[in-house]
Amino acid sequence: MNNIFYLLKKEFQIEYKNIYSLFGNMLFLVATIYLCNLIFGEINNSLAWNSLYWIIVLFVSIQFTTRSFLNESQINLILYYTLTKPEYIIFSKTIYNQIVIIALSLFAYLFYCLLLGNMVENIGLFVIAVICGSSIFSAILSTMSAIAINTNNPPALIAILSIPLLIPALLAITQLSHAAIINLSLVKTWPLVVLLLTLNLMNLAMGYILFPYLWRE
Amino acid sequence: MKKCWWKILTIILIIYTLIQGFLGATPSLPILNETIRNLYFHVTIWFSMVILLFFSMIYSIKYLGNFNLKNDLIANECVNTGVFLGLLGILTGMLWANFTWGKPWVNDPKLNGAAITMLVYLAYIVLRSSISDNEKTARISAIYNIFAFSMMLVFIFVLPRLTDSLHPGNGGNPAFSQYDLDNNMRAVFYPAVIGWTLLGFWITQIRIRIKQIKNQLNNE
Repeated sequence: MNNIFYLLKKEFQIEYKNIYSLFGNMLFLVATIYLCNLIFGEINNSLAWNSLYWIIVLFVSIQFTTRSFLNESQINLILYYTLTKPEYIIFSKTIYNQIVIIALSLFAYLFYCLLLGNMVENIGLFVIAVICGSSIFSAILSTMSAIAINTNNPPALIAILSIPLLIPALLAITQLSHAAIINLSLVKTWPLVVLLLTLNLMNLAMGYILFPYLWRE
Repeated sequence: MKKCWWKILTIILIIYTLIQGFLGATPSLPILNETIRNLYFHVTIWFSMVILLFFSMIYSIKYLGNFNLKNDLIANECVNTGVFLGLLGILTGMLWANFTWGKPWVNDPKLNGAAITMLVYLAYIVLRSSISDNEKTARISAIYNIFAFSMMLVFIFVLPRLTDSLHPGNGGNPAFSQYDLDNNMRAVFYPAVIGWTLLGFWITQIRIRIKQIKNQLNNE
């Protein structure tokens, strides 16, 4: 547990040192949402509002997690290998990615509301959807980015590998957040939440079991 | 002769499936009519695809256990044959859907599951081709393969059960077990599954041998 805590702390320190790359992601969000504003004007259809939001969040998450392993130099990776267990590394990366993706998607939501109008009536449920969604995004994307750094073209490969795996989760998430838009209560949507949590646990378990094999060189 | 009994069995079973599939007696059901014959091809090809992909996952696990490159070769070729069978399954399914639902592709959880499975395994093939080192290809693709198979089980068997579907067996549509009551069809269906699966293994075996010969020639 202490190990994971130290690794997390290290992740935040590195991020703070390279804060410009996080600003890069935020700038990407701002530019994309502004582009949507210019193309769509105002969105009156709740389905379109919802799907556009999640597509933007999906791509910014992919963009953000691509560098979670890419930025580590070979020497750093060898250093981790001697210092800790691989399971701790994938967990710390996943937790860290999750925190940042939650922050990015909430930021995206605020800016999205500003430019395209707010359609969400049940904000609590929407936040739950964002948390569930970002945890699945980070669980799948962290493992896939660990796989993709071994290839010739990591940024392209991470999208190819993870988008098909994310489709079912994304369908459930969009349903959940659409329920938040039309103001359904949590009681009616709990099967979706349970489904998302199970998918999430499954992905975490797969990452936990398989990551040590990725790690050995 | 002793080793090739299963190939003879494959040929017999497939000829039997083809003859019975096109000429045999079938129950006449509304909407389905004669298209019910597709059950012998569409459903059975999908079954054999899942079996092949399952074998591929087993060999991937074996590879991670002992790092023997032969296991990786088998896993890879099983996926190639599985994807081929999957495409055949989608084509026959589209043909069937065109006559019963009026469109070759409708947005249905089961069809989406099938499409996602194909995408995941095509991504597996892309992944293999984008790593240059042999050992690394084997290790990383084995990891992705295990990930992909376990997710595929969720896509095909769990998610469609959660929502309503047009597909037989869901939402009040005629279910598979209803045809099963017809013993005539059962007598063709199970041999057909075995026949297509064995054919898949036969294709895989030939492809593995070709690859092995190529590897040997490259080494010389």
